[in-house]
Amino acid sequence: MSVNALPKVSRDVLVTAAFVGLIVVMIAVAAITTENFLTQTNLTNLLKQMVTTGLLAYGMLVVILTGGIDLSVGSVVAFSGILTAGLVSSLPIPAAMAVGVVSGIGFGLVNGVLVARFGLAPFVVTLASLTTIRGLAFVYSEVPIAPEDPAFFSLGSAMAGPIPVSTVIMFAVFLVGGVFLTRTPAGRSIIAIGGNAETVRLAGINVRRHIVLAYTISGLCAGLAGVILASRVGIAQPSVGVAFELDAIAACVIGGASLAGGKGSVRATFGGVLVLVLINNLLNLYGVQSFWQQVLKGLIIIAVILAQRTNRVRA
Amino acid sequence: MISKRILAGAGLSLALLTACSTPAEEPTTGAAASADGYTIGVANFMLSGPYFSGMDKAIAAQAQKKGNIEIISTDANGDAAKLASNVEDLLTKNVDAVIISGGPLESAPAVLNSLKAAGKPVVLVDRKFPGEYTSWIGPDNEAIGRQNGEFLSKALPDGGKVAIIKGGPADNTIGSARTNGVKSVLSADSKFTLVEAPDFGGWGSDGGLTVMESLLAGNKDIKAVFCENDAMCLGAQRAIADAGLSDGIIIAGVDGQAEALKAILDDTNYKVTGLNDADIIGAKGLDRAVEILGGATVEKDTVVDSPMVTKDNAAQFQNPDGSF
Repeated sequence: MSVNALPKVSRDVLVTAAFVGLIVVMIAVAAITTENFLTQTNLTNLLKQMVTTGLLAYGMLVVILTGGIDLSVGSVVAFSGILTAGLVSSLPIPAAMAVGVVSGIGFGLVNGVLVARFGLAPFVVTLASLTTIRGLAFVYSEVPIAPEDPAFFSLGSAMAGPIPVSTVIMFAVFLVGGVFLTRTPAGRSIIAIGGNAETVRLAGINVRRHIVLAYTISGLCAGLAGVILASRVGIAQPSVGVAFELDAIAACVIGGASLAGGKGSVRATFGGVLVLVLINNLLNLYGVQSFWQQVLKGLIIIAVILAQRTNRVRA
Repeated sequence: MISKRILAGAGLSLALLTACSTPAEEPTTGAAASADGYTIGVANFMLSGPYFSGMDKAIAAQAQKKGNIEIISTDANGDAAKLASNVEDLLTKNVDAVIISGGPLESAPAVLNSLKAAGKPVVLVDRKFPGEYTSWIGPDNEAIGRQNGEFLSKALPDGGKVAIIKGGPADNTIGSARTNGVKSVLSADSKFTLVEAPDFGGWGSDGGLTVMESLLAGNKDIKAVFCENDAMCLGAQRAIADAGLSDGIIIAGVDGQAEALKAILDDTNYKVTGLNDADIIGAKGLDRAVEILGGATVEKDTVVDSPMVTKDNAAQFQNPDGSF
């Protein structure tokens, strides 16, 4: 047993080391080759720009761990944002924002019930809710809503010292979320379900309920991301968030999560978010034209995943 | 058991469909319904965007005002193939004419061909397609850009760095016509330096915000920013405010979006936009289709003026009842 366990540990250490190395190299290259990377403005930009992808990526990771996928997160971002902005005229701002987040929880719950209770394929369920929720966002308001009260902007633009408040919230989600997945029975069950749902069921754990919980968490994260994004931009648009799910999935996959479920780590997913945001930021600082940014981003993602795979095979 | 489920599902779908259809659509029995009036089909390439949905509503509103005109509106959801099949469906319903709001679509040869084969008049609004159509009504995007360029040139007598935020590939020719207009004025003047953002803003406020943040990281000395539409400029305005640079950077957009008009009127650093009014273009498009059906000889291409909107005249363009 212990003989088998040894290479497993060193393998994980290797992968982690390579991953941290990659991020350090990216930051070093950025700092040396551009004069603007280490400026306060740019670092603040980085911190702000990782919030949406970060929140969505954590929720996505929880769902991916169960062996599922949540394609509806971009639409939930749009819906919760426009709902919050629309409610600001009739509710106090914190209440409006809470309703926005709750709408995300509601959508997640519906996704989860459809997947767990009715046994429908997660890809199909969330693909259908992607279009339904997007439609609902437009039904709620075809035109962007811009609340006039400047307090609406505070969640997205306030700073806690040198760090944006929205980034602090995202860090908190990762911290609490990390503890939840690794230290609580519910979190461990979610990971175990992705490994082998049948074993988990035989162990007397309610599989359905934990799957519903996973999608609800993803809905909560997406709802929160939508509210923060609307507050940051100052205008909520029903068209926002198209293809946001792709960046969230990419962050999980770069972090080594397996789309088959059961495998993935909170820390590495955060690393994946960091890699994605750094890629965008660097390509912008270098002035790489947008089409090439798309090409390079795709190639870099493939390279990172290949590197992880090689590590695993060799170790 | 299974068939019961299927029945229940079918029943539910029917109930949903009935619930979602608006009362206005109920008497849709084709052209025959309006005995002495016309049925006009509207083929929208996409409705997801305030400008495009505003256009669709303006056409319907004008039809209502005229009376005796039935409108059948379709949405292709940004899919060119769907647009073609929507037009086929409209022809099957025997509409008298079709108005096409092509949005970011560059050309639609199949659509124009099938309309030509059916012998129905085609009115294009906003987007002009190459090929055979009866009439086009839309803005002169390069003129709007030039207008903004001239405004910036006057507003910044000492010149300086002007940033340009582009919308993206989906709407390339309209956007680049606007940018070319600005450039044609500013690049002729050596006191101006133009900085084009490498990344596209995607025509939305969130994109405008991120692109502006990146621009500010590298260029603290920007004096003005031009965006290819108002939505992006509204996002850029937030980024500039967050960076505490609202006093030093002025903003120029295009479209006349309600929030932009308000920002201009409130005397913020949002100084100018070019009015590209979906309400006016949509209403004129409907009028044009009716004129054609009445047998009138009409102008082939009509450019709708895009007045420059500044603090002095913004109030007169604010339209609380407008769709856009």
